[in-house]
Amino acid sequence: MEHGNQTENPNHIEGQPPDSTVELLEIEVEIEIEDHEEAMGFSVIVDERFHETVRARIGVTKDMHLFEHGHDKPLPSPPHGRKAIRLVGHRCPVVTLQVRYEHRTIEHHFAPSETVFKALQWAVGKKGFGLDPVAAAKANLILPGADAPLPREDALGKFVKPGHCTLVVDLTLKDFSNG
Amino acid sequence: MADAPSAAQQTLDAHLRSVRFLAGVEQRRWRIVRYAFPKLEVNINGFDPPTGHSVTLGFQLVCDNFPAVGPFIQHWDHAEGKRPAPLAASADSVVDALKQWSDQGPGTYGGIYRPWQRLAALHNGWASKRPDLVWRRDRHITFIMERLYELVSEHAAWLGRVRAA
Repeated sequence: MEHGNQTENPNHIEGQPPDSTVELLEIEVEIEIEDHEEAMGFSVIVDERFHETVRARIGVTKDMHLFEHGHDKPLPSPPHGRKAIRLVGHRCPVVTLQVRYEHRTIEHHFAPSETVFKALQWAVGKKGFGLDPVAAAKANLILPGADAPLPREDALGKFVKPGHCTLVVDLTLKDFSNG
Repeated sequence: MADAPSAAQQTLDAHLRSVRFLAGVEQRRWRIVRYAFPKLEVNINGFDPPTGHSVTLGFQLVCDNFPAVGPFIQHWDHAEGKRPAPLAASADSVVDALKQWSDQGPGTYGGIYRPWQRLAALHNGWASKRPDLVWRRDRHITFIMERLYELVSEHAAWLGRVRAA
């Protein structure tokens, strides 16, 4: 058996014997940053410096909050066992969503990582405008003056104007459903 | 020697290995049940936060010529290996999406009736009316998974309301 050409163990912890290793888990990250057109993708070792490493990779400071896409709270660290995660980086810890419908405006606080779909579910539900099921099925959220509804899978933070943490949208029942 | 995968298969394979697809799997929003290109069979777990209700529906996507052409998609019973009877007890929009329809002739089925589905996009010029919902070759397979998630979540919302009534 040949011993002279061993490859370096990538899991070796510096300062410890060569055969002393711990399992370093790597996670694939895709992150949307509020004012960037394209998402960024890279892999990161999951350890106690996860946030610091991600911020360094995207070139931002501590003012940028990190969330998992679709979730309502900042991400402390990736859940155990995850191999892939979509993140949203946003300077607003919370977005105030104001939804206008007929002559009423209601508002609710969402994480910038929560989706348009989740906001729509709230807006049509009992805690929102309490629409009947037929109207609820037709409802969409749309930016004032826009032609098309907001893509439902997108994070709300994507539509917040620079310098603001409030997003104003209209709830529309315009029939977009039939061909 | 086995033929190399087609460009269509290589593209779909790459989408299925992507972070955004895998993240959806790990969040248990969708799961691959069977994949033999061009057929991709999945389960979608819809959820309605206001009622806390969740439900799972199966779908089959036929992805030939992907991504130049969007998938043909139908509601699917994985155990039976066929499309189940149209869903009658659900929100009107869900019933409409899963109805029996076709403009291809008697005995045929046009797939899910939504603008993001291959054949429905062609119906009544739907694609031109809803460019935001129509398939484009620069879209990702998760665009379809998200639409299916919305559809199944609408069904979950309806079930939640009915059971609470």
